[in-house]
Order: sequence, then structure tokens, then C-alpha cells
Amino acid sequence: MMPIREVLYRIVLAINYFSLFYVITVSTIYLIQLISASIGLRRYVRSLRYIDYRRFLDSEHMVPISLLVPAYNESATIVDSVRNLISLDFPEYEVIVINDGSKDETLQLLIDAFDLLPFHQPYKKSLQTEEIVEIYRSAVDEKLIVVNKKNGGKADALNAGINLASYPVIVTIDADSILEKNSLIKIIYSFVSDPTCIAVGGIVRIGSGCEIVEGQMKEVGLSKNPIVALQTTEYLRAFLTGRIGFDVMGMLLIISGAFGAFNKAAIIEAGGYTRHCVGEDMELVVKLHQLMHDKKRKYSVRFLPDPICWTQPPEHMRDLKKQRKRWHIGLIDTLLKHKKMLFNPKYGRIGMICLPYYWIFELAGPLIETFGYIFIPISFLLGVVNIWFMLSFFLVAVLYGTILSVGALLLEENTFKKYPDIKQLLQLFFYSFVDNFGYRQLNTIYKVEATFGFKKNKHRWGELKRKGFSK
Amino acid sequence: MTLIQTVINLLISIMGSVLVLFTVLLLVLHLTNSFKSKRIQAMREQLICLISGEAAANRLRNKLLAIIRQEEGCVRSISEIRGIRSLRGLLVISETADELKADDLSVLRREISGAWYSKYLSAQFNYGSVDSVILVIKLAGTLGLRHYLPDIIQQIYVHRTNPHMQNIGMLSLCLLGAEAELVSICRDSSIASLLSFRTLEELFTVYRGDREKLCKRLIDTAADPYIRRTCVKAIGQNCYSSLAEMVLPLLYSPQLNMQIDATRTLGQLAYEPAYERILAMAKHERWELRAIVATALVNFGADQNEDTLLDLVCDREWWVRFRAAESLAQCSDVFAVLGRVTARNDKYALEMFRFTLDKIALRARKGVA
Repeated sequence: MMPIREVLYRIVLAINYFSLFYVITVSTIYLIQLISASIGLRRYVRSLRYIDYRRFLDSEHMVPISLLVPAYNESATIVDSVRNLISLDFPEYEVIVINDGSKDETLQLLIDAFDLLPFHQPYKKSLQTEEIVEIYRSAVDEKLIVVNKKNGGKADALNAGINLASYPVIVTIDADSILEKNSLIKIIYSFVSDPTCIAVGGIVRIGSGCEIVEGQMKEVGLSKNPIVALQTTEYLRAFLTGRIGFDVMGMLLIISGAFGAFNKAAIIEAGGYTRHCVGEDMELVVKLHQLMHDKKRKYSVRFLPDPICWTQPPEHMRDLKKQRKRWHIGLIDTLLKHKKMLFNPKYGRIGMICLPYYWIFELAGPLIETFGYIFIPISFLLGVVNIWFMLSFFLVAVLYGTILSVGALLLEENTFKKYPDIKQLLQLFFYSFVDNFGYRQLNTIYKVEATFGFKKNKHRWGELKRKGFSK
Repeated sequence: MTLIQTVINLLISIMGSVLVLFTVLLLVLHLTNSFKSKRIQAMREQLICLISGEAAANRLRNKLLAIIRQEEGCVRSISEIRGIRSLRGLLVISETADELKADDLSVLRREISGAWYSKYLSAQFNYGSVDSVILVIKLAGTLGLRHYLPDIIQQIYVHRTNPHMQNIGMLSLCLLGAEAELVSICRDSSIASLLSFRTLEELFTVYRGDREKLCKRLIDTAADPYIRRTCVKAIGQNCYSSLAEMVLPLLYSPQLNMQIDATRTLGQLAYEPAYERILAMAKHERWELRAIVATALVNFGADQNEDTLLDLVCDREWWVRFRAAESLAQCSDVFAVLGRVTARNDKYALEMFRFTLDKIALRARKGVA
């Protein structure tokens, strides 16, 4: 019989081996993503040499689009956002704001600012939604339509918007976000050049700290709030490495709800957004992948790093926690809803590589990471590892996190150069490093909390506090 | 444990080195990108150009613009701009050409057509990368350099699976108004069109030759059905009535999209010989066709087709009702029509027609019905 201490020693040692293997695998995957992203970005920037978007600005051959803006208690930003959206450079489009039973003065602010008049508008009920109370049209700008409906959640609001949309492509945008003037033309060009394209995502950047006047971006800046600054580097890392990396590999599963364009017919065929699903954006994309594979149709889902949407992130820890928990619950919900696709060769690389990746590294990752935070010190206390091992293990984790963030900054600096000031760059660099000491761990804890509270909270959206864009 | 420790030490060294490398690269890139002051630019131009692509491109652009605008003290000819015969130089010239007005463009054309630069451009067709060849083709189209036509055709064939090449190649042929070459390529079934319908429509819009003649030659001979449909749509949009006869048989096409485009076009042209057939299609089983008929009929006279439009506004399909209501709103006496729609006892038809009238009223800012 092996003594208990020996058994424990072996178990802890095995856990340490597993942790090391996991860290190396994660690092390698992220490194592959970074390399793929740099290749993808290079390819994209090269393609921009030939594409002259300006030719399409006045073209009647551009696909007309419907911009959908779901709004729930968005009185702080809604007027600026809508003002921004009705003044974009695009030949033919409509803006449909869906007031999802807001309890604040969102609707009244819109009525006053855009001279809205009640309008009897028949629409095709392609998707089931909560009851629409009223529809308004603007006497100031023909493009603007406002729908006032009973509260049913973001997915329900978007479905209502799809029912009312007159055009074949819909673009979803959050009410706390604004678009750059040429963002629409850039994102929609994908539908013009590639008829098999069913969904395209644009990049979402942090707008807090920037100078935004009357809904237009005047000067890019960085927020002094560390929580916001940390999210700025986090977003850069997520979009410039993660999304582009997955796009290059043809395995994009997430198109941010804050800014994405979709083929309306494909969404309707997929049954629209899943109501009461808090991760409705990811769920829709997975659903579209599933549909296209089931129907054996040629299709593409793309991410473009150039069309920019500036958004407002949570500025307080409380809101950040709500948001991150919601994102993770959305992820779990989506993965569970589509578990039949997992390791199913019918779904190609989505089923065989992408979904397993999400299960192992995005879903189980936070649990394993937390496990590591607990077990490495225990190993040290049991004398399985020495202090140097413990510290160097942590150093590896910090270094790989920093490399990814600095890698994303490098890609940003080499292509889009949105932060012209050296001070801003140094700040971002600093936050890329600091991110590993507390912020990342905190996010991991939120995700673990979300995992354990999944059943209880899976339909709960949670409201974030916003402040206006205008200075 | 020694093994784990060794692996971790190795990882730390690798990651540490990568991080240092990334940091240095980031700083160098940023510093070279951020020098905007003219004085500093002048002082460090040579150095910066060595390491920053953007700075080098700016230098080329400034020198090129100085030649075009004949600024004093600048270089006199493109041959004096060091580095202009490069991929970066081509890119700068191509971007500059897109932004110039006619007068300046002719100066640029003169410079590019000179023997010194022409030699470089011709060499690209033989030895250049695909990127540079595409840029040369684009430049040839923008500047109207017709003597490159044989090279452009050859490159389209050589790179027949490259959609960028096909797009830019066709764009240049359209900009050059090269009818014979376009017809030849479009008729060749060995070269599959990689371009979307909308891209083709856009290309036809920029065609600088006789578009009517081009449509006539391609409408029934183009290998790709998208190109034939593009011709059909162009005929309607540009009102080429003389070609309506060629569109007529397409109303009987087995392809639904072709039938739709033909119906739309013949409606736009109000081509009488097609009227009976279009009218008959108001009862077609496909709602897409019924919807397009609802729009087409208004060109033959909304009042004359009121009964058919009234039937269509009561259609079971939303889009058909929508289109029919828009057409009915163009009748001379809309209030009488409103009465007749009401008499049909179809609440969906009535709400659609009211909606159309409200929209018109809102547009005219006369208030809402």
C-alpha cells in the first residue's frame, strides 16, 4: 500500500503536469491566432489597395440596408446615437430603433428630437415577437422609424426590427454605440462582392475617452478610468487577434451584437434571434452555421477589422461584473443549445475544431484557471513545488497574456494607427501588462460565478448604467 | 519536477524575448508613424523612409503632387523621384490618380506614359508580382492607357481564378471603353466569372464606351447568365428602347431571375408588345414575379391597370401587396381608388394602401392621414 502522503503527492504532481500542459496548449493556440491574425490583416490591407469604396458611395447598385437599434432604457445615449446613424455615408438605408418597453424617457426623447409621428405601418410577421404598440416615422428624416413594443429582451426587439425591415441586409448596432461615417459602406461591400456572404462583423472599439460631438467621432482618446482603459486593451486583443484569427481559419462563431451585418433571409430561415437568450449574437451565428451546413449551402461568415463601431463599456466594477457574467452565460447557453454540433463531422471545422475549442478553452478554461490558482499554492505548501516554480509558472501566464496584448497593439500600430499619441500607446502598453495582475483573474472569477449561476440567471439580462457621448 | 521546471524556464525565455521584440517593434513603428512636423520630417526623412513604409509613401506622394502641380523648386520629372518604380510607387500613383481632377490627371498620364516609366510598367507584366500587375492594370484603366490592352487581356486569362484580377481587369476594360475585348472575354466560356451580379452592374455603370452597343452584343451571347442579366437591367435603367425587342423572349426564360429582370426592364421601357404577357404574369405562381409585375404595370398606366393592381393589392403575399399599393398610389384619383380598395373587404389590402398614402403624405410634409 502506498502511503497517503505519497498518493497525494502524485495527484498534486499530476495536476501540476496537467496545468502546465494546459497553459502551453492555450499559449500555442493564442499564438497561432496571433500569427493568423497578422496574416489575415496583411491580406485585408492588401485587398484595400484595389477596392475603392468611394465608387460605391453614390452607387445605386449598393445593397440597401436596414439598421436595427434595439433600445432599453437608453435615454443617456439614444439621441446622439440616432443622430450619428442617420448621417452615415451610405446610398440607401433606413434606421429602425426598437424601444423595447423602456421604463425611462427613451421614447419621449426620440419623439422630441426627431419630430416623430405615429404611423400605421403594416409589416410581415416573419418572426414571433412581443406585441408592437406603436410605430413612428420621423418628419425630419424619412430614414428613421421608431418602434415602440412591449418588453421582450434584446433578441425579441431585434426580431421585431427584422419584421419591419424593408431591405435585404440588416445591420445591428447597440444604442450606446456610434459608427464611423464610412463603416457601413465598408461592411456592406462584403455582401456586394461575395453573394454567398451571410454575416459580417465589424470591429468594436472603446469610445469612452474619445471626443464625440453630436454623434460624430472628433478625436480618439483613452479614458482615464482604469477599468475602461483595461477594457480598451482587452477589446483590441479580442478583435485584432481572436476575431481575425478565427476569420482567417474560417471558424468565426461570434459577431458582436454591437455591430454586425446579416442577410435578412438567412436569419429568417434560421428562425431569427432566439428569444430570452442573453447571448443572442453568438447563438445566431452558430445557428446560421448549422443551417447552412444542414442545407449544404456555400456560405461565408466574415470579420472585417476596418469598419469601426465605438461603444461605451461599463465604467464600474458592478456593471463590468454584470456584463461579463452575462457574456459567459450567453456562451454556455449557446454551446449547450448546439451541443449536437460538437465533434459532428457534418459541421466541418465548426463542429470538429471550433466548438471543441470553445468547450475546452472558453467554457472550461476559467474553471481550470481557478483550479490552478488554488492548486499551485497547495502544491507549494505540500512541498511538491518550490517557490521558484510557483513564481515562474505565474510569470509564464503573465508573459503570454502580455505578449498577446502587445501583439494586438503591434497589429493596431502597423495597420490602423488609431492612437496617434505616444502617451496613449505607452498607457495601452502599461495596461497590457497590468491586465495580468487582478483584472484577468477577476474576469475569471466572474466567469466561474456565471458557470455556477447559469441555471438561475440564464434569462436575466441585467441593466448597465450609461452616460452620454457628447461633451 | 525538473522536467516541468526546465520547460517553464524555456517558455519564460522564449516569451520574454518575444515580448522584448514586440515592444521594440511597437515603439519603432509608433515613432516613425508619429513624426508629422515638416521640419522633423525633412530632417529625418531619409532615416524614417528606411524603416517606415508610410513615411516613404508620403514622400513619394508629395513629390508626385509637386510635379503634377508644377510647384517651384521641385523635381521636374517622375524619373527624378527615387523609389517611384516600386510596388509602393505604383500604389501611390494609383491612389493619387483616383483623387485627381481631369487637368491634373492629364499631367500624370503624360508622366506615366513617358518612356522611363512605361518601361517599368511593361516589365511588371512579365516579372512583377500579382499585386503589382493588378495595380498596373488599375492605373492603365484610370489613366486611359489603351496600349496596355493586350497585356490586360493576357493577365486576366493567366490569373483567371483570382477574383481581384478579374474585378480590376474588367474595371480597366470598362474604363478604357474596350468593347471588343470585353465582348470577347464575356463570351468565352473557358473563363468563369468570379464577380457578383452587383459588382458586374457597377462595372457596367463605369463603362466609357457605347453601353447600348455593348448590351446588344452581350445580352444573348455572354457565357455567364449574370452578365446577360446585367445587360437586361442596364437596358431598362438607361432606357435603350431599341433593344427592347431582344429582351422580349427573356420573359419566357426558364430562369426566374432572368424573367424578373426582363419584366422590370420591359416595364421601365413601357414596351407595348410585352404588355399582354406581363399582364398574364400577374397570376404567376411565384410571388416574386407578381410583385415585379405590380411595379411594371404602373409604367403602362396606373389607371389603365387599376383592376389588375386591385387584385394584386389583395394578394396573399406581403411584398406583392406592398408593390401593388405603391403602383395604385400613382392613379389619378387616389381617393376613388381608396374607396375601391375598401370595397374589396380585405383589411390587409386596405392597411397597405393607407400606409402607402401616409408615406407619400409624410414625404410631402403635409401631415399624416
